[in-house]
Amino acid sequence: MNRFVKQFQKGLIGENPILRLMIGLCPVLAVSVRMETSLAMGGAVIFVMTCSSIVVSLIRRIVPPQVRIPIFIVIISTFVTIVDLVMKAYLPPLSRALGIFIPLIVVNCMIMGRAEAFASKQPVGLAITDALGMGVGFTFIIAAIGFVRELFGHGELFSMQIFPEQYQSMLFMILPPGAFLIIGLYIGILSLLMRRRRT
Amino acid sequence: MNTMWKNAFVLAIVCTVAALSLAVVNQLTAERIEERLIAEREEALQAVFAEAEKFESIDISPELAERLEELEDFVVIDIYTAYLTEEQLGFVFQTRSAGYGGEIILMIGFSTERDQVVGLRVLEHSETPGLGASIEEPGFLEQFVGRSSADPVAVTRDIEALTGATISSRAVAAACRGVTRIIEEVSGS
Repeated sequence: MNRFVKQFQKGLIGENPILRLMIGLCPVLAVSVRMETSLAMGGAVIFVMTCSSIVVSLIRRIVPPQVRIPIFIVIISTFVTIVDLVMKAYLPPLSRALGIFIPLIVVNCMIMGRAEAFASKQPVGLAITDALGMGVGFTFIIAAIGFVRELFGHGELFSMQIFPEQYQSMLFMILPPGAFLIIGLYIGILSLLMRRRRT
Repeated sequence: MNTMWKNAFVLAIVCTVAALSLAVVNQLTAERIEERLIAEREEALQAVFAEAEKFESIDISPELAERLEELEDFVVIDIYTAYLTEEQLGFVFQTRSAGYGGEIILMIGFSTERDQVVGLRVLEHSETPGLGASIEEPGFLEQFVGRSSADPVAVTRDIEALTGATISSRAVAAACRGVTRIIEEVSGS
């Protein structure tokens, strides 16, 4: 049991995909403008990563090493297409807000990376735990970035007015540099905390 | 040789399973997606032409199509006739023009009865958030309502551009001006 808890925690802090491994940054920059889109992106990533990790882990013994990459890509893109179609049918506003960034999950190196580096070598239970840990770690950070960007860029949270009407929104926060700045700050804070804990 | 066949076989199996599962999901969602798209279009039509009750996509005649192709600043994607029961009130144009970040797709309602633009709506755009993206705001779009073929409908003349977003503002003005210029030919055909 301990092993699972440890594996889950890895994705949250020690090997957090955004702050420690710094992979899968493309959707983070593009989508973290608002809390709602951030969480939707996080949910989509968790679903795709967990499902593809399960399948990759299940078939790990029969996949020939020479064709493993195309096989992983087929599996990942299947789940991404499912998410895309379901969102289009049942959550059209979110689907429109996320636009091209849902199909682009296919080429997200975080998911590919977990399939290749972890799920293809580990039993299903651990693979699920790893995918969930990474997915939750990703979602938590993208939402934390979305929080700051929406609050200062729009003066709103979940599209509800937080700051008074007169608030002059910071355009800088809505544009990509705002995301870079906040990611940088978070990376700095996390590194500082980890160093403190070690010493 | 043997491994090559095995590789191909495994890959083919994986692809087949993937294709089958996608076919199932597509079957389950296709109808609903189609319904959503129709409902969204219906809603947008209603929003730009509030008085009308029924909209019908019109067949563009070859002469009109030729004329539409000559347009420079914008493209007409679709034309709908707006009806109140049997009476024809005007047209709704779906247009495309080049903005700053990409294409801007607009829905523009024009009442032939009152000879003026009655409503606009931005369906799609990829303008800069906070600057060009404000073309969606009613405050900006309202300026176009009431314009007719007699008006210049041009930025700095009778349309006030958004601060820091002249190109986006011009793209909307170009499509709206274009509609007022071709309306006679459209209603005549």
